[in-house]
Amino acid sequence: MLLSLLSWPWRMLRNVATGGSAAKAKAAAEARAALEEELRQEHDALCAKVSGEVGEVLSETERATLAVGDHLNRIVNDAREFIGQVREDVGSLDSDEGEGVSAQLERQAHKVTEFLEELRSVICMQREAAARVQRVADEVATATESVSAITCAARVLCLNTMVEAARLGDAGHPMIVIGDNMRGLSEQIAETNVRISESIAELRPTLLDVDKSTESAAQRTTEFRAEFEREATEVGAVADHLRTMACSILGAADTKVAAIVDCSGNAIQGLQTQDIISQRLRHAVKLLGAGVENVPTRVSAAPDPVGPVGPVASSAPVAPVATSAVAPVNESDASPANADPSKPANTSASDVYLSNSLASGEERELEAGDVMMF
Amino acid sequence: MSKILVVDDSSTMRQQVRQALAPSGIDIVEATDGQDGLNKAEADAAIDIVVLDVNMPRMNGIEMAEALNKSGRMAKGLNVVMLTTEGHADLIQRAKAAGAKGWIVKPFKPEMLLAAVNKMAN
Repeated sequence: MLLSLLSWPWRMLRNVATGGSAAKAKAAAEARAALEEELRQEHDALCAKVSGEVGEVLSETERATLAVGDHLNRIVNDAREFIGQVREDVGSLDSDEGEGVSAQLERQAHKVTEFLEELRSVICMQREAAARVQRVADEVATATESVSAITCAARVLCLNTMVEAARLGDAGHPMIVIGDNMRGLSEQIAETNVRISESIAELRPTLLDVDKSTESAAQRTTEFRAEFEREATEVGAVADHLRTMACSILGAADTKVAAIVDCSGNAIQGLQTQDIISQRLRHAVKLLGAGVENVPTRVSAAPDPVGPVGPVASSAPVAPVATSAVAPVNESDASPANADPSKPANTSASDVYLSNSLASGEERELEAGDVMMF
Repeated sequence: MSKILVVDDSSTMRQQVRQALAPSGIDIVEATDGQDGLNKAEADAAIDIVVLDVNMPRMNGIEMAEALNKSGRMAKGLNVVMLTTEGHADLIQRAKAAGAKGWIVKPFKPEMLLAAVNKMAN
């Protein structure tokens, strides 16, 4: 009994000590919970702030990317429009329908050549006509000489008739009258003949002048034709040069447009890469803001990927996506020409590849820029 | 008049696709995710080509392709080409099994996308 009385204070103290530890533990747990809650709230606030800031940055980036894409498209369209205008202007120098400047020059040269040929023919005909007129004049001169001789003979015959008629006396009187009339007619014929001869004589110098001038015109036409043919040859050379120049300009224009389109294509791929990275960043921000468990995973190769399937950190599809997103940043890797010539697994022989980088070969995943048609 | 439906949750990507396909002269309609795209494809019979992203909210591209195949829309002449950053062969096979006609990996060259769409249109 004494022992129980002596041990009573010690039992009391022990009970007090045990009750105090439980309270302390409870208090510590409550403090820890409060601290965790406070940290969680600070974390959520920080995540919300970061999400907001990053979201704003991404939105601005997106707007800038859209604007750059717009400008690039405008550049390509302006280049195409410019080249179209150049093609139209240069096409006027030479066109397939033969309406170009060079074709017109050649046609004009051909027309002039034809005209000169016609002129030469006309001059020849004129010279022949002048020669015929000369011959006729000569024949007329010969004829007038004959007529002159005839009129002289007629006059002599008239005189003889009048002499004989005078010898006959009164019986010969009518013969005198006839002879006198005949003499008058002969004199008229002779006078007319003289006028014809004089006219022919006047005509001869004119015919000579005509002949000289037609000969001069023929010679000048021949000389001009020779000179024009030399110039027509030069015009032909200029026309050929214009054609060559037009082809060269159009070829250079096409090459330049192709280069601009190709360069803008590379730039557009760069913009797309930027957008892909932005999307990745949004996804990461979602992870940060909503918690890992609540963010839906990316599509996996499994047949039924509906909804979240677990922590994103362990989801395999993220890895190849990150790879394909990073790889195209280096434009040379994005070029189909630099890709390995291979064919993804499990594809049939009927699959057609638009990209020339893909062909039968070892298995690999498709890379940035690859196109596969089934 | 035929139409192209572009389904992608990125407005930048939709813009790039629209600009790349503008030379085709075909009208272009946009959707922001798989569900929106499915509704538009089912509602508009003039849509005969779909350019479809894979990773999207609400409904991803593979699911949308499978839904279109199941509803018989593809049997009525709808052609689907996937346009995505993914390149894994298993995903490609799944899309092919769902009736897709092609697979293009982003970032794409505009002329390649246009060639693929023209090939389907012809």
